[in-house]
Amino acid sequence: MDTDALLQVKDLYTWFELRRWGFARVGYVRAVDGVSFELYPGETVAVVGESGSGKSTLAKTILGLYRPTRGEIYFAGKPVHQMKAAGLKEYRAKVGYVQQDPFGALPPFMNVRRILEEPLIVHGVRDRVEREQRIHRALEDVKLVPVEDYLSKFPHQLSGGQQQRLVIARAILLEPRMIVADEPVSMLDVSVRVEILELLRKIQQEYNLGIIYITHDLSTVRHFSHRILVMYGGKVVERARARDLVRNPQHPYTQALLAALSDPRAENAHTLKPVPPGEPPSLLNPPPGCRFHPRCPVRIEGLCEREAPPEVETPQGAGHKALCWLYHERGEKKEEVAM
Amino acid sequence: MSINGFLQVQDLSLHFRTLQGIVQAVDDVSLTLGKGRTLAILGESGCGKSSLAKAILRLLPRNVQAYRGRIVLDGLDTMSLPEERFRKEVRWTKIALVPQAAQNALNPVVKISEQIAEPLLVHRRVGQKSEALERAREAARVVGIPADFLERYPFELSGGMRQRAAIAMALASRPDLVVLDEPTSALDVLTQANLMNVFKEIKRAFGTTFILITHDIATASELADDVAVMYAGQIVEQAPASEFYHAPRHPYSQKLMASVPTLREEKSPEFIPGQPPSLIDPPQGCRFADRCPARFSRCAAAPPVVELSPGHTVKCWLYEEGYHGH
Ligand SMILES: Nc1ncnc2c1ncn2[C@@H]1O[C@H](COP(=O)(O)OP(=O)(O)OP(=O)(O)O)[C@@H](O)[C@H]1O
Ligand SMILES: Nc1ncnc2c1ncn2[C@@H]1O[C@H](COP(=O)(O)OP(=O)(O)OP(=O)(O)O)[C@@H](O)[C@H]1O
Ligand SMILES: [Mg+2]
Ligand SMILES: [Mg+2]
Repeated sequence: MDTDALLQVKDLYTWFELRRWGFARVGYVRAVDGVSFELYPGETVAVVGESGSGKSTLAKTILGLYRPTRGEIYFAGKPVHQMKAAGLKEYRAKVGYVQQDPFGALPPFMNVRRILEEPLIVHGVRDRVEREQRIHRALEDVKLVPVEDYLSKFPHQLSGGQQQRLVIARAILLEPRMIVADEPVSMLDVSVRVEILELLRKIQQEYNLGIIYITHDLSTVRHFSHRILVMYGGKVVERARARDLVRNPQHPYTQALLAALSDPRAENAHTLKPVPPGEPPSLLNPPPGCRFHPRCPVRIEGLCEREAPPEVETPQGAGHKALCWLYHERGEKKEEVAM
Repeated sequence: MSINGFLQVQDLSLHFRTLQGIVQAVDDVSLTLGKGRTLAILGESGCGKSSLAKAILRLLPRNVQAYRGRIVLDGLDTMSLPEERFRKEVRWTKIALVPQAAQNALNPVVKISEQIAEPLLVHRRVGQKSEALERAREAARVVGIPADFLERYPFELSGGMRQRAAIAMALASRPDLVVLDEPTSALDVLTQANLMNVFKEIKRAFGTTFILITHDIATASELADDVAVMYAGQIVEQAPASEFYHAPRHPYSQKLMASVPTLREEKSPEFIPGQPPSLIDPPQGCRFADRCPARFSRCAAAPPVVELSPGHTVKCWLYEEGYHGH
């Protein structure tokens, strides 16, 4: 086991049983289907992928909100997947969670002070003065200042960006060692997005936090994470350092994703975007072989639709890996035969 | 952009009455748009983009305090028409709207084909239901909905397919102008790119004129011929896209462009400190002044609209003739 890692996820599966009319089992939704990675203190790992690729399920499993179907999760060396209620409570105090959709995340009838005081009470901070101090510090950290102006406000009296900052304040309140941020900025304007992501980065540097940053927005990921995992159909199909992945994507899915993304340039209007045909795979009946093969422009007939590819090191090296036959010796041989 | 645009909006205002005061959501907005072109209206959340769309389609809520100005579409002064004629001759017929979050607004118990045909029947554009359904199939094909999806219900389709259905609904009546309010913001990158391709093809094949409302400046560049930037209820810059994306001129436009994270360039995105002013009692002078790095004494007064080149206007004191401080 890697003893430096803050978080270690090993071959993790989270499947949801699907029943019809409450009893007959129809099958399993394979939302997370064999995911492994590590997160180190002070590091941001981004998880990107299309809607429904399993990102939020991965987050919730890591947080102990879902029991994994199979696999292991270690936080600071302790097995999260085996924790009972008391252990999980202690664990959650060390892990901040910025959940998807800030508007649904904040209770509408509580003011800012109560929203922040509650987790402190739940986690046993008995002293009222200490609670008040910690609330102030968290609000100052997220720049909701002067703090007095905000304490008695209700969520609907805050702008989208302020609500998002409040959600982050709540996530860092218990001085966590890790933050799981699920689409923390996707509901916000570009100019506010950058502000919030800069803020998270500052807090990270100050407290040496590990951050898991989940999003479908590749353009922010490039600027605000160290490493990127690309998810497709419940699996990590590519992983690399952020800059390497964006400059030299290796998996055909990542290549398609990046090609579809626009930079702001007037010339874009003159050409059509290359987009792979079809829709993301069903997680109930995933296609055999590689899950991307029905949409893949460079699939190897006779291999990709039959056998699921293993994760292999790409020619890029430096831990740049892809779940793709193209970079496997069997795939290379097939290509030669085909030519 | 032609001077005598296909669509001309002059001094359009839409204000709402609320308990806190009067919200100046659209305030003295002027725009021009040539036939077959696409105008992207860019701006941050709450700046009045959807209200502008509603003002153009005259879809007004009950609490309107003021609705005034002039809208001329293809020579027809639409604002002077009585409601009855506007409904019969303009809305859906000449101008159609794909509202914000349309993909979530479909009727859950109506099949996709009938849903697309509905405006045609309701607005009596065609007499026969069979003809309406035929037109619906045609529109569905144009936006890339597979034929076998037409007999399905909304919940059986992905968000991207539902959005296509909403777009087909707007296209089925073959309008001259289609207003798209955040058509792709809730969708995935690949679905988004796919839809932008659909719009490009519609534009090329049918010469449709579009107004594309969005806060996504990068995606807007996929379709825009012209760009208008909205800030706190007002248009602060309008320009041909080629000029705008290359060199925006209003300080707000410049800051906005600098905040867009790019994939292919090294520069780090920046943010704009501060917040837009309230639309209740906005500042008398320039509404961006207190966040503007270039503000100076004159900004306390309302800035003029200055024409920099044909079709490129900016509402800013920096470009006033005789002022050479910038
Ligand atoms: N509690 C659940 N029970 C059954 N299926 C679920 C459950 N939660 C998620 N799923 C399914 O698992 C798959 C992955 O969902 P998940 O929310 O993890 O995706 P995501 O990548 O976060 O998507 P998005 O970008 O839309 O948030 C989806 O098909 C979803 O419908
Ligand atoms: N019916 C109404 N009554 C009162 N205020 C309204 C009404 N409709 C909109 N507003 C207000 O007018 C302003 C502009 O709203 P609008 O929906 O036009 O913004 P927008 O630019 O479309 O924002 P977004 O990008 O979030 O969709 C906001 O402050 C909004 O709260
Ligand atoms: Mg999610
Ligand atoms: Mg809107």
